[in-house]
Amino acid sequence: MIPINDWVGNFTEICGMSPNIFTNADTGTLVYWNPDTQQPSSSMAITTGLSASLINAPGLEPVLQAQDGSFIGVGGDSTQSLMGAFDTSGNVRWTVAGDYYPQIATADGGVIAIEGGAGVMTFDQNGNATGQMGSLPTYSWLGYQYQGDPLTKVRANPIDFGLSFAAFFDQAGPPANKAAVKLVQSKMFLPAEINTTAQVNTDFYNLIRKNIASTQIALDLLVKDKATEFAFNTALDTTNMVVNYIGHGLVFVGQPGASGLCFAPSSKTCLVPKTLYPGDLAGATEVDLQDGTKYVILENGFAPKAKIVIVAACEIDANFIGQWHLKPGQALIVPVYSNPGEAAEIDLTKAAYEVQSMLLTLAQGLTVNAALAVGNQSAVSLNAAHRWQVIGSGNVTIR
Amino acid sequence: MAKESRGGEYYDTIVKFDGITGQPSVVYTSPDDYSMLIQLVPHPDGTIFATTTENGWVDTVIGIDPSTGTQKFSVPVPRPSDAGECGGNMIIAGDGYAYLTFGWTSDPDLAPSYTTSGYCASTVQARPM
Repeated sequence: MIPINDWVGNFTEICGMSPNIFTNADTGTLVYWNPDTQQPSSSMAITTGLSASLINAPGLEPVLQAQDGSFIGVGGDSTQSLMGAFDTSGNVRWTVAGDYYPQIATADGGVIAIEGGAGVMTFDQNGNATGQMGSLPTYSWLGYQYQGDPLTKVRANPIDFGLSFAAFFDQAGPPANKAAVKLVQSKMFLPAEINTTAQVNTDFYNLIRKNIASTQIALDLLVKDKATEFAFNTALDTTNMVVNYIGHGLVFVGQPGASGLCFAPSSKTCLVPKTLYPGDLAGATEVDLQDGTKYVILENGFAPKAKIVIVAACEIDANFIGQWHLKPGQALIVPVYSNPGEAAEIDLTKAAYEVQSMLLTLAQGLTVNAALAVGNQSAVSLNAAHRWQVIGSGNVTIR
Repeated sequence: MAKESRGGEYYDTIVKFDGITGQPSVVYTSPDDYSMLIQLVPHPDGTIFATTTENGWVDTVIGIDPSTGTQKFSVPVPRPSDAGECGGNMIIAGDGYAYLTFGWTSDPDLAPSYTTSGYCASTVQARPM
């Protein structure tokens, strides 16, 4: 038991304080109650382990917790409603007047809120309004969007949600069941099946779905025509995401190394960094070939927001790696071949199982470097010719 | 997952629904006639946490294996035997513990005009097994 406080009053007064509780990341809870007349300055406590400490009353009740540990909540009085943010000491960071209700804490420290049950507004980390959204659908664990009654899958703007145990409120997304879960998504793109034997592919899909729980990593397998370049770009643009590509690198005749990544067979679309395209583009941003193949030219290569990207493909060399513009806190995991420049090939079946082992390691909250070690152990045990390397920050975690 | 009343008087049964077909199946039924389920919260490891009562106040936090329906643990909510209790809101926090807020007063008759010492907003922790 964690004692919070003693009060003197009758039953109605005491129970009228209606204590409630909210997760505080993975360190404990924030307990809050209606302000009482005896200690009006304190209506909140932080619990850590088996102890509790009263904090200043911010005049706001928590609804979400932002990625930095601050809380986003609502308050106000009979004259006006407030939405605002406060820290774990109860200090208010900002408030904004209006009938706003927080829905999703975003990766940039801001918040998406509904306004009076109708409009949807976005706010930055200082409470400044930054934009409007037409509506806010319900987001599934995998990031798909649903709306209406009967429930219909819709295509809405993807949300770059914050890494928090309380990033979503109620119907805006998972989880809405009083259990605090830190949502991390992973998209696995498999535009080419990993094996020519159908059963081998099926076995892998079933195994990886079974092994990785959504509460650890919400893994979305995108096989063949579901592995589109649009979905890939969307995944790269999501901060708390592990993007996996397991397929064939695009190799142009007469040019060493991979020059791009190709996606859904039906679309025949490949993403090609401009500097790796061997011909004269003459300013073109797309190249359409007679056989239906389309090269989408990336002016500045790949600039992901995703924390971790794993590319398992052939012919990845320094030029290709150089097209990944990573910031601190991001990592790219790519193969190292046994004979670079000669047979820079990778066995996709073995690679898929190795990627799975790396994802399982990341799901445990371990670093990219730890995942790399496990991936390489897996490569050894599978007698694979390749190994793995990390480009960028090896100390990144997704938990 | 939802709670259900078999006898129509109080909630004594936990039912889960197939995610694709919606087909319900009973997970757990209270072993006695007096224990009522109040709040259900699923733990990320699958354990169903439930608060139960026999007299309107939260008596215990129980953990139920969703696949077998067996009770994994039962944690009594500590309070003086003659106290009046209020509150009772449970969450699974990010640290994986279940937390339950509750308070009590030392007024056993719950007389609203009687001034007494209250002890409000305490929590009990229960680990999933």
